[in-house]
Amino acid sequence: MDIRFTLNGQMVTLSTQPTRRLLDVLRDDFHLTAAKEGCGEGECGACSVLLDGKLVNSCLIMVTAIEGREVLTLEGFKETQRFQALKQGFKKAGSVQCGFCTSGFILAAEALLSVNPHPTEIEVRRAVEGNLCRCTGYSMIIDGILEASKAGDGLW
Amino acid sequence: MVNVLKPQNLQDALNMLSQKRLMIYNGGTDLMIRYQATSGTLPRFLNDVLCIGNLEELRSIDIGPEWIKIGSAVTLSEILDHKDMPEMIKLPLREIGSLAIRNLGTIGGNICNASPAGDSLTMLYALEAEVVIASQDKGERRMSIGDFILGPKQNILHPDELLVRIDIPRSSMNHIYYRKVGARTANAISKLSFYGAAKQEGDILKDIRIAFGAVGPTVVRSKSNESELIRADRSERLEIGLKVYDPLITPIDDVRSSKTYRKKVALNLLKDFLDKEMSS
Repeated sequence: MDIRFTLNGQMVTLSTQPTRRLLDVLRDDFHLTAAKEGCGEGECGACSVLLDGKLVNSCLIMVTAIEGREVLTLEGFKETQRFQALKQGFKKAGSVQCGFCTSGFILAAEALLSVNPHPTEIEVRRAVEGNLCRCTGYSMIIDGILEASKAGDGLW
Repeated sequence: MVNVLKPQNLQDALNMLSQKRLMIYNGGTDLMIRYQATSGTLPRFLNDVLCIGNLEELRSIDIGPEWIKIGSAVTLSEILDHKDMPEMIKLPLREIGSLAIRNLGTIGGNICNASPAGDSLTMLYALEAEVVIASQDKGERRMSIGDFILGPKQNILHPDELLVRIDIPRSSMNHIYYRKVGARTANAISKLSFYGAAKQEGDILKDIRIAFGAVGPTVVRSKSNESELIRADRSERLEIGLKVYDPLITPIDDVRSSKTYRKKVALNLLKDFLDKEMSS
């Protein structure tokens, strides 16, 4: 089956079995490996992408369901100034250890800041409640996002 | 190999359903887990898949003076983001999954899964929601949420039927209370849950709705108990409430929790609602 959608700003057409997971299509067909499989059940957020601007777990989406829609992965988001602000914030706060969860947290942060540019700490915690991290204990990630929202004033 | 059918509209979908058994893909957040196979391989769907998540007829929200009508393919986030959606409907939906899940998961899916722990269900029972079901052969039929859900994970749908809409009658309440008890604040299946809503004017209780989740095979609600609470003197309400709900709360031990814990906490939440919430 042919599936047409927009991937990181570009129109693409994919011929594949329609029931494949979006996560597998991104990683195996498009070699966009920022989205990762942490749990395969929508619990860890490591597979997060933005679908029409909304945070979703790509391990839970059949690729045929994204026909005509817009997918943004970390690789696409990396081109933006907002990403740079998050990168600096994460660097300053020590938010990255093994890095496996990082892509998911960055996109969750983008999903938050694009509707709430100056969140409180509680609001940040709520916004990343779907993301799990085994390394950092979360505090540094929360700080990284708060830092990005302050230093990146005006970007969101 | 499993085929995926993408109907153009509801009529098309019902026509496809009338011809053979299909797996319904709405938001997909439960379906994709239930049928998942090894990482990287195709889900093991039992039948061909019918995609209904995009059907226009299932995607509207209509906030009217007497009814709130929500299409079965409306996502939980869409309900939460709707500026005119009453708080008494939003309250339990906020606790479902995480933002990423709520952006895909639908109210229709939460209902049709009919989990005893389903988070939208206590609210829907308490607010006397009705569901609208459609099929090619029988047209539309309508029933209360309590009649739609038959038991744990069982709903009344025939293989050729779809849940198309949920209608919630508007009610005015001045106390709204919801507690979900789970292992963590997100992405947790409820150990138990409690939904309470009441309209109180001074000492007079004009309306009260109480529903418990995950303490029985389906949501526990009793209109006769609610009437008794309305008739009771304000000072007796708590004692009567605890007495009349005790026998109705019959949880089990399972992987998530014990019956002792569930029962104790369920009655604690009832007490918190009747006592603290309603006196503020």
